[in-house]
Amino acid sequence: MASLIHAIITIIFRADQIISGIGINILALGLPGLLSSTMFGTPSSTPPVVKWFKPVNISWIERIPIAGEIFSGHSILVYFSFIVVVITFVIFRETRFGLRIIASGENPSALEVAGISVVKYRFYGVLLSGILGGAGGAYLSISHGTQFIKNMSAGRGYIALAALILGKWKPVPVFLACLLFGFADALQIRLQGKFGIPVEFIQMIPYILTILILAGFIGKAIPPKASGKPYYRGGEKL
Amino acid sequence: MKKMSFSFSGILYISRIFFVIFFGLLFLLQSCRKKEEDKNKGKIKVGLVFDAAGKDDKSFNTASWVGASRAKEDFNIVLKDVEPGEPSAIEPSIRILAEQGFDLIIGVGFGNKPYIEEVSKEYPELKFAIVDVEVKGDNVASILFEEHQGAFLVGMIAAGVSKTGKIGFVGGMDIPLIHRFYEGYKAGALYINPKVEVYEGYAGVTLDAWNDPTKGKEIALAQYSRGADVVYAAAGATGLGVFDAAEEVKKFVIGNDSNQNYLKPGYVLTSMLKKVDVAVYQIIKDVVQGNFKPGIHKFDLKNKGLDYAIDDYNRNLIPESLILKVEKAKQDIIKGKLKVPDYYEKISRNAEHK
Amino acid sequence: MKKYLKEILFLLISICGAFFISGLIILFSGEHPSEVFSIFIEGIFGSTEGILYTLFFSTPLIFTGLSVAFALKGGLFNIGAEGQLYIGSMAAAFVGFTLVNFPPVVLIPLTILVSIIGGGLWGSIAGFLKAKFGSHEVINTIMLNFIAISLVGYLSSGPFKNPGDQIPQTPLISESARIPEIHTIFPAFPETVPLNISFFIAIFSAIFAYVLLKYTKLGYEIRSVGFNPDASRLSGISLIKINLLTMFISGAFAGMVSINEVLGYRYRFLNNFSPGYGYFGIAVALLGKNHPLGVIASAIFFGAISRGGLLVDIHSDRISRDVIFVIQGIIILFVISRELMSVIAKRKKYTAL
Repeated sequence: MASLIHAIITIIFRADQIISGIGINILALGLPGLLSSTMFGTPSSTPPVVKWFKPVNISWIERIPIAGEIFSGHSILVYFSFIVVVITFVIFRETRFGLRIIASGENPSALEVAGISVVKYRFYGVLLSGILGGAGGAYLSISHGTQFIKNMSAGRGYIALAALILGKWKPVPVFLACLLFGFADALQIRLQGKFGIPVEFIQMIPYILTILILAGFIGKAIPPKASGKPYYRGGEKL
Repeated sequence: MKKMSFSFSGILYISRIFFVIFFGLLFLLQSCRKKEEDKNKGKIKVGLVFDAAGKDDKSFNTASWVGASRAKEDFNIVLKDVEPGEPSAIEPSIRILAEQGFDLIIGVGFGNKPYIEEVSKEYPELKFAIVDVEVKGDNVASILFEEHQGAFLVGMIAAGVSKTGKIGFVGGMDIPLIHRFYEGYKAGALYINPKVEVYEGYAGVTLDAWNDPTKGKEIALAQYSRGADVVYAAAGATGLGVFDAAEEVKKFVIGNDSNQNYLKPGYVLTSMLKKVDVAVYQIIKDVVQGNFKPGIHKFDLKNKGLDYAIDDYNRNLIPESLILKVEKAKQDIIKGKLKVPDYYEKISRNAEHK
Repeated sequence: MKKYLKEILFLLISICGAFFISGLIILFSGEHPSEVFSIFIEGIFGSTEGILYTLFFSTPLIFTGLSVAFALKGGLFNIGAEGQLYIGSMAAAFVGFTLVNFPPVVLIPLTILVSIIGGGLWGSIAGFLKAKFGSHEVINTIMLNFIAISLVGYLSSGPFKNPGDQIPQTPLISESARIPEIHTIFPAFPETVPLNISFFIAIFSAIFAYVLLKYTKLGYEIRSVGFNPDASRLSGISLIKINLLTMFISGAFAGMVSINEVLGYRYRFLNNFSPGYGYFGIAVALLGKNHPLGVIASAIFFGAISRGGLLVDIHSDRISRDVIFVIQGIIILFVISRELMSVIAKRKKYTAL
């Protein structure tokens, strides 16, 4: 939903994409609380929902030693996320649709010359990203826990941005980067107070890593060339 | 640069529509509100400000909300609750309640301390109350609990039921108050089984640690995977994550503050009851009847401010012999025969030592 | 002149539009929009307290709005005001509670200076990374926010924590580091409003930013880098220097939030004190059209919304203060999608034909 508004505003009205994203973020900070308070009488959380996604145990995975223990017993959404990575990879590599989305980011005018609507494909791109973001939220609220709690994501959307950069804008490395951050988060919970390193410093690691990578210490991450720039059809910009 | 192609008349047109609708809405039902105000005249106004977790944490905040709501029904007062949602919003809420002339303002949780301290000085004619921490002042009542006593009893139950000899503890914010729970819990567990192993974990060091169920679940899962089969959640809304974890791995959890036995039937061993509802009700009653007393109001096992919950949800989970032992210990604590270690005393001793 | 009129009209439409949409939400929730809005307006203008509170809430927003607007003038998008204000405030508090024996004449300017340097240095990290490695300042400032929040979280709950307190906060700063509240200067004002002279410092800073940008060589260079970096480089302006300075000044404005929060009000560093002033600063700068004086107006407007939202929260059962965020978010979206207006306007012209 929110990504739809974002898409309309940034693509059709050519507003600066980052500013719009932030506007949406501020709106999204308030809206669920307001809706929750009008519907359930308390702005900070909703009543628990029935658990939709019970953890699934896949028998054949369970039988694999070590790996079985790690990979089985998660919510179905966890497996879904693995599948999404593969699908994204395939889409971008193999299908026309994926290639066109890439083109709309890398070289929009070439796409236009080829007679394909840039607006349409950028629209799809933002919409899909919103749907995936929403799935992330759904995992937190109805699978990992059972209800919406205000600010429950605790900045996880921003960490994803860090993962994106670490993964150099490609689906599979992004997935690995996400695993790394997830690992760091889990590690931090399990190591709490063990080595005398304050929790706060462990929490900083993903962010510091991102900055270092951006600065090119660990290798350059190249964003799509036209990312963040409004696209104007030929000549319109003058 | 692209030239802005504005049509001046177009803008005027749109703005006219908006203005008409906006101000139309504004003045249409103005009179309704006036009536509302007359209705509430002369009633005592009570404002309740929660901490970072809202009134629906099913624990600490919920308990105070229940108490206040009961008082509202019994005494015909105007009750307004504010859920700040985040720590930075607590203060403006307290200020605005004071400015609007609320007769009694109750800060639920120690997160309210600095603001109650400040605002109570600025509005000496109003009355204030705060739960869990002491604030000095002629118009402030501080509601304190002897949490370690209650935690001792549920610690006994945890160790008595545990088959692995390992139990866990998930605290909200890493602060003396929660350590007081932990120390009591541990002492109770050791009282039953001297060899018991107790894991402790906290969700964080900021007020947000009361409202992070995702993290609560992670910590609990970590403790269950290390062999704990009972985990005590003293963590506000963060504790709800511990309940989810217990259900997922089919092990036991112990609730806190409110009776949480109903949350995940079959997995909730018991709940430590910290009767904030009783305390809040009592304070409101005092104000309504004109007996408001500033200073410390203490609640412990003796005056039934603390207890543990046994009801239909968990009666079959705890062996009768264990309950007898717990009841005996409860009487011993009340009579002063059994002394539960108090974390507050421990730190004040350490402070003197230095 | 007509251009300005259009701008102002456009903003008014955005604001009315935002209220209109939130009115619909309120209607949906079962309260009367007129009732809610009249509480809203009454709370803001109905009393001296209301007006003073509005100014009090707007003070930090002026600082962060200036911070964002100034960086934008230099072509940089500073989302890091949140982190910069925390670092500045922690620095100010640290000086305030360690150098207790200094007299006010020394200590007040010193703490202000420290907060400026603290915020400024934190901001210039992003400026440096941008200038040196070309990495995008948006992502860097977001990351630096999280790092700053973790850092001050550690300091205020660890080494600098006030002993014996349950919540993470530093000890009180020295009496002589505190700046006076407004009622000590104008005794007619009520004592209960914590508005202090930092409001005037904020106004002064806005004028300072305006003069700096408009009338000095540095200001000219900053604006030209913001307008066209390549051309400026060719004309002999050092991009690295200007990027660094822009972010330093921008961060310094953010750090000055501490004058209100630490020196004028709380007299200590309280962890998590900011409800997101840094992020709201973006909205303030946008609504103020990046003009330092426009920032003052829009900050006061946002201050009024915060004040009104609080009252609505108290007086209605089904509307929470989140209405503030909704209104702000919608306004931002309105302001940036200004072409929407021209599109509709055009369409109207066609139908009129």
